[in-house]
Amino acid sequence: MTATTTDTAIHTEGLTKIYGELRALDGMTLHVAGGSVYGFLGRNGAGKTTTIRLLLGLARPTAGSAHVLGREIGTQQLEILERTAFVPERKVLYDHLTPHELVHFTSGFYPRWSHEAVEKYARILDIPMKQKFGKLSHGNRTKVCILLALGQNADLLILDEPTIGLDPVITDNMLRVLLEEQASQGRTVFFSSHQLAEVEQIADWIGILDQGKLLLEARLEDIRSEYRVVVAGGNGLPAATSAQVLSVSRSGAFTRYVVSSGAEAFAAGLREHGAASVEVFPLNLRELFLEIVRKEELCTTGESGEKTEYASSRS
Amino acid sequence: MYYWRIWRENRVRFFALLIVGLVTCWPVSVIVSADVVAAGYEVGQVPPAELASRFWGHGMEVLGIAAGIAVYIVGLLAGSGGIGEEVERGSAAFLLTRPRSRGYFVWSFWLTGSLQVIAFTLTAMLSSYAVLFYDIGRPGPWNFLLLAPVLTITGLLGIGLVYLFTTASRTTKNGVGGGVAFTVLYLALGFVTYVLHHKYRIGFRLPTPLALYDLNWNAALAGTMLGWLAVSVALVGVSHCIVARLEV
Repeated sequence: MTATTTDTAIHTEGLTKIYGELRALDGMTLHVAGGSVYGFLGRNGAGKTTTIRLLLGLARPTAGSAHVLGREIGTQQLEILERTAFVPERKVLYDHLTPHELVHFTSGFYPRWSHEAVEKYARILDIPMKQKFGKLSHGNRTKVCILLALGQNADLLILDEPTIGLDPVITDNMLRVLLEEQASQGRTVFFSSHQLAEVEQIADWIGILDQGKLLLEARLEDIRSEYRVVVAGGNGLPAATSAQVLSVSRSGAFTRYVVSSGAEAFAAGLREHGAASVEVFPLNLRELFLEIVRKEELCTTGESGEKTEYASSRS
Repeated sequence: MYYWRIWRENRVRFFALLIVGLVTCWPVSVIVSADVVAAGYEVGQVPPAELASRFWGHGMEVLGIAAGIAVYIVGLLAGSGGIGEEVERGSAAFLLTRPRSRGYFVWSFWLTGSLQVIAFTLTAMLSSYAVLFYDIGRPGPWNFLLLAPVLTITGLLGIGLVYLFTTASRTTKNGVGGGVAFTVLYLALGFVTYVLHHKYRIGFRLPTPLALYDLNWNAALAGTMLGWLAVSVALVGVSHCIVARLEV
């Protein structure tokens, strides 16, 4: 059983969550296409886990709406949970149960549970099924959580920092399982991370969140082929000239623009505005992330100290 | 499956409770056999009916006190868990993302706790009945059976109270501590209002579950039973409301 790849898996509109004085999420609008592998990026405290908690009904939004697999959060939560597998950030289950018993426990909640999948992934991930969960290493605990999620045969996998604290071999194993076994079957994988390398390895969409706002949502393919940083020297250059400009930062006499498309035309435009020198560079995900998120550092190192400005992008 | 996990977690405690239930018959037997001997009979010798009735009455009082305290403690233990404990150990995010309503987890936990209370009550009553029958030599009165609902309601009050405190505080330690503290304070207040009301005719008498242990069957006792049963269920109902709004 798989989800259709054309459906929308997750859609949020103006999703907001306020804890006292803190705006953990600030009017976030997000779109996750069915069948995609969506890397949800952000620094610690950016709002990734809050978003996931809202989607799964573990917290209630202050404002805005969200639909998961076409069902509204809050009012149709059980229908969402029937078709969604979740791996929490804190891999805490029941210490006195073995993975084998945890599988027994969890399987009872899901009519679509696949024992074959569990056997297969337990073998692939090399999980000690007879050892008590409390005695397992951090890596094995994470693997058990992933195993329980995979056994559900769910249409959507939501993984909160699935590989945090894992060694590269285990990480690689799990990413391969997620990518090859799940995404290739048309299921949607939505995972939060700040491990940019692994996101780049498996994601086809990315969303960058910072301070509760979604700064960017784009196909990774588009980022590789279209996204560029344009560095221009000179005074009086425009801050943001069009929607394609994602961020602008100034450092001394140079202005850096991150553009989502048409970099060459944009560079030509800058020259017309009197830029003394204009250079265009490609961006990888890490560079893009830093350009967009690391605004404070960019501002403080720049002589002019001007603020970085942003424009949202929907590819 | 949730029931299976609760059983898996509590089975050792469950069997320990049954043993405690069995042991409850021991003080009952010791005290009543002392009564029998003091009245000039031997244990197992058949006394006259009215004397046997007195022995049974005393036996039921002792059983009520011993099993009443024990079943309340059973209730406190059985109620110290559920969603509050899941939050405490960090597994709530996992459990609450299973496709079941939060009410399912609340009331399933309550049900398993109630079954523990009932099992304990039956064990204590059956074993006590057996030893009293052996000591006194005549079958007990019918109102011995009233102890079953009375003890069960006592245990359910323990569950409801501690479950509410555990859910509200999100820790089992505070849950049990809060439950015990509330019980002591409430009974103390009940005692004070009792004294003020009966001795000085001031204020009203705070109702306490101790009224359940007046085992003379009449409409007032039936109403008291229903009332305290409703209170025990209402405590879980409040926990349900807390869990329904819980953010983890």
